[in-house]
Amino acid sequence: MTRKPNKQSETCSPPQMLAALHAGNTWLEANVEFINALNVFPVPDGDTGTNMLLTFRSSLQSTDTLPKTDFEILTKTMSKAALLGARGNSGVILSQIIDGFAKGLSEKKTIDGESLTFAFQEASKAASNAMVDPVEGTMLTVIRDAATGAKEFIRTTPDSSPSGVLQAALTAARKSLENTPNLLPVLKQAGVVDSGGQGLVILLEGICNHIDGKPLPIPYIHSGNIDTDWIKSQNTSEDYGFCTEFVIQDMNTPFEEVQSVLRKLGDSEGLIGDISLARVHIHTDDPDAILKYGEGVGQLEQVSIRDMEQQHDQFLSFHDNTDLAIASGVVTVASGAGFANIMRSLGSSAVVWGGQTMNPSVEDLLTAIESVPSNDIILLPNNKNIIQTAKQTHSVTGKNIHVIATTSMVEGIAALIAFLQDVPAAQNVVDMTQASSIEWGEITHAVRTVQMNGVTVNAGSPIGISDDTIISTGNTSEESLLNLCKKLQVKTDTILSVYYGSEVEDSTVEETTMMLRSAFPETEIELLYGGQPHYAYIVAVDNENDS
Amino acid sequence: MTVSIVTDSVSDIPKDIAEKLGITVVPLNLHFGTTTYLDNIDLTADEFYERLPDANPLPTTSQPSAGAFADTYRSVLENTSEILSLHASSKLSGTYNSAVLGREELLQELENNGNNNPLHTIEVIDTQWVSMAQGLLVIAAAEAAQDGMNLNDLKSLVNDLSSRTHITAVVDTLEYLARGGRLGKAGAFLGSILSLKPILKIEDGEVQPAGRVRSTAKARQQLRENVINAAPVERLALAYSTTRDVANEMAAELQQHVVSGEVILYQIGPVVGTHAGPGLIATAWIDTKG
Repeated sequence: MTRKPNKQSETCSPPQMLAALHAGNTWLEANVEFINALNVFPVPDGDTGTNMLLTFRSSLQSTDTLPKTDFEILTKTMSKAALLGARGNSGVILSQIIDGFAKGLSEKKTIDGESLTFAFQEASKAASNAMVDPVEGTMLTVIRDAATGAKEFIRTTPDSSPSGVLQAALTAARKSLENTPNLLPVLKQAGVVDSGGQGLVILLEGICNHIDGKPLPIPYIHSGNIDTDWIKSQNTSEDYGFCTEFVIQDMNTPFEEVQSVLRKLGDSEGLIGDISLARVHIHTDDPDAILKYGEGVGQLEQVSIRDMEQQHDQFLSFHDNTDLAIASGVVTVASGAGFANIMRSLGSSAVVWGGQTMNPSVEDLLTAIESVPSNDIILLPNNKNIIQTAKQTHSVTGKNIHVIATTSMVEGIAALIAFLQDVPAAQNVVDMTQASSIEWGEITHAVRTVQMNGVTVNAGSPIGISDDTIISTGNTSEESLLNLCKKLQVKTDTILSVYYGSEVEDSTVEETTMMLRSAFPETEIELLYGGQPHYAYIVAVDNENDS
Repeated sequence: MTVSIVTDSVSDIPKDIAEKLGITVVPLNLHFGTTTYLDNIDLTADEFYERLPDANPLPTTSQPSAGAFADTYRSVLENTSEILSLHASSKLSGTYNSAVLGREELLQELENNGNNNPLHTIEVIDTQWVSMAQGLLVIAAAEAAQDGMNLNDLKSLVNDLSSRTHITAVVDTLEYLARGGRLGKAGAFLGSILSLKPILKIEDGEVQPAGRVRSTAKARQQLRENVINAAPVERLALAYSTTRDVANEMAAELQQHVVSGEVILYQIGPVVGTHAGPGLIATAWIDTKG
């Protein structure tokens, strides 16, 4: 690529701006791993660089098909695309920074030093508003200091070029970045600067380099100097859960109210945008509760739920020199915090959120597959509709994928019980496939009026399904459950595991346990929290003579 | 003159077999509070399991002292010039180490007293096994020694048999193994939300996970199947800590799969029982050659 030095220009045209932003994108891309490696806050999951790049890239790509003439159209399009494409906290803040720039540059034909300085102030303001609970020593501090640097420069050097303003902002941003460990203790403990701040500096560097007509230097190199003991000490699984993100369109509830409800439902909350289009980013153990609430206040799009423990483990293995490789790893699909926990406790390396109503994409599965430190991955789709997707991962990864066609989470659990980490995958697949064949049933509500053995079951009534057939009904889910269990092969030496869903009240759980124990006094009965949506109960029958 | 076989009480060799084959068993120590008992001597297994549920703090174990081994070797050498001393996995017990030190101590003593007989040889071996996996090797070696096999051939025999030895066990709880620090890689089985029965094995001298199932009945079934899949086996021993009836029943069922038709039924002694806990069932066997 040849570039004309632009240093002397007093203004910048739309195509010049886009070219500079593309250079920023390229430089960001070259340093993604370096930025990821610095990520210790708010959770050490090593995805800041990736999230910033994906956010910035989707913002920039949105302009590909537009005429490169009007700043306002270009920046507004970029801003909207960034909001839609924002990933993670750093992506959310970056999208707000882009939005601030867009606002600052609207109605401009060209960019001069003055307007760029103003845009920096708008970007800084927008970034602070992005977080409900802004923390110093992060990207927020770095963009604010960059904006202040730009302002100082234009005050002393009026009529300066955009290039001069950018250089001043970059210098201030670099200084600010160096200072982040003094503001955020966790950075000091880990011996790093803030990853999001670093990402911002790198983005500005890419842009400045282009404007100054300099070639891009050699990317930063990950020094690997984060104390792994420190990262490990941060690993308390309760603190993680799932990183849940989605876009809400056309909210029917005031923005502030939604913000305050979300704040109660999880950590690291961010609700940005406005009533017509907003993005939610929240860390929670129970993504379903968040989604359920979201569905109530508007139309949800781009729902993404990622297992943060898995991200953390991946991050840890990147920093840890010890060999974490295992002979075979398991990736499972689950919906319900209880199920996810049980699967992890049985040795599943990654849990992908999904199920009957939300099928994960090949990419979702692929991300999980790549995060597991093993070349042999056993994939448990746990739903009929996900088996095909699971099989497709074969063609997009270099790893050996073994799909065991489990059609329910309880089949997945039965398979996982037989899983041994240090055993070769082929042996595990044989053992797990055999173990997965158990009898099971589930309680849900009839979606429409149906006939069962000549009896009419009204839409909405609780029904028990086993082997794709309605085999029980009842006035309540519990009654339906009891009738279902009576139809299953419950014997004296059976272990009956009943996983209750998110809709079941704690008090009901107690009663249900009593009910089943008196109906099957000789049987070992376990009630476990599954937390699944749509199904009040999922029942697994373990018989001694199975398998 | 025949080679004498020495082992330790981790082998859990039944007393009658040890006496019949002239095997010297050096006892480990069991500590209930400040009181120390010699394993299987001062305290029987039945007495031990009776006391275990109420023991507070829980009992601990320790290897025999080097002195105890020196004493043992000294007295054995009065009737023989060669000893093969076969011990519990050094990854699970310090017994092997004590035995090595005991030998050095004795040889030094003999040298100092001018009694150094160059024909005196004591071979101390870390079998990498415990309980009757170790015990079956000791029994085989003792039988061969009685038939006049020399020390070198005995060592080769033990090596060969060891490569064909297996032991799997189902425990009621991993608590005892975990507390004693003997859980090894099977530690991954801890912390499961479901109630599961873990199946364990010894491999490379350590406790390793071998599987897990929902019920005790299923776990025992798997133990049986392991042996049946390996059948016919050369030797088989069946261990229990508290459930003699279960072991008896299994032994009767598995008898037909052993070449000799003989199953050694034995009770896990106090020292191994301290780490395995009540309710354990284990199968130890040696595959037939080839």
